[in-house]
Amino acid sequence: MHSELRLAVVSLLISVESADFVYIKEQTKATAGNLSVQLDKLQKAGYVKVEKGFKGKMPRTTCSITPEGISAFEEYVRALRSYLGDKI
Amino acid sequence: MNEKRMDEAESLELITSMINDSRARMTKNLGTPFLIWGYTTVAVSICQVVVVACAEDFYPYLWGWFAIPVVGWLLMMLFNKQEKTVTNYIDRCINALWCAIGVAAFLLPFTGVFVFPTVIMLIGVGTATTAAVVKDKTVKCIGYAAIFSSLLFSVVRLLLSRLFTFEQFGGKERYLVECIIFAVIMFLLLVVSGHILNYKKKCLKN
Repeated sequence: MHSELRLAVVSLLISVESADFVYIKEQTKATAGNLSVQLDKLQKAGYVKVEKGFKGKMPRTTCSITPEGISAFEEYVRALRSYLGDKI
Repeated sequence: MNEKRMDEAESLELITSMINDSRARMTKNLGTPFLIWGYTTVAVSICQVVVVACAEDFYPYLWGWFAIPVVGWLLMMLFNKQEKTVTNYIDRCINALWCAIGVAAFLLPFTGVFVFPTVIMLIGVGTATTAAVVKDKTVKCIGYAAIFSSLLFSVVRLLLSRLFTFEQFGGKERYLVECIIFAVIMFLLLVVSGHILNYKKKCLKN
């Protein structure tokens, strides 16, 4: 979660139920290749669930956050808060 | 956006901006269903007034109200068919709420209750709740105003029964007055709310 794009993806998915690849790409302004790599890393860590399917004849990749992803995100925000709290 | 590592403040800023972006997207197209159902209801109400005013007996034309779910549903399929790229919890709650309200409104004529004020009250509840969820004070006020305006029908009935005998201002005439009041309230409730929501979405986009 320490990379900019991975954090952006997780922050985006935390506030929605599911989002498709194109939407995440538009919101994060990342390239398709880079986003695929980061989603793969998040999926391997068990933070994100990636489902590949078809909408009509077009392939569609839908992503959603897993309970492990939510816990990791909460933990990350808690750590950030305590660090910034100490500094303030 | 790339693989770079960020400091704590940058991370928090990124999280806030991502969550705000997805929150802004929640109100997307929210006004369109209001406009579809609002204009359909007003159009059917006006048709009822015109047809019933020309007819001898108004009872056979009461079935005309069922044009609202048919036309509304077709228009929803036509205008809302664009692919959804994101599903969020708020959209799902709002959809579930309006589905339940739709089913209840459809079944109301078969329950024997006074349909016009009950439909207005139901739709007022839906509008006020939707507006509360998307934090729109103006539409929320319109929703509450509609809930209170459903009392207007009782007042109108009481006044008419005091001022006129049933022979002077009977079933058909009273029905026409109620249709007109219903159309006006639905216009203010759904059409005005729909335009407000779409206007705010447009401002948000710019």
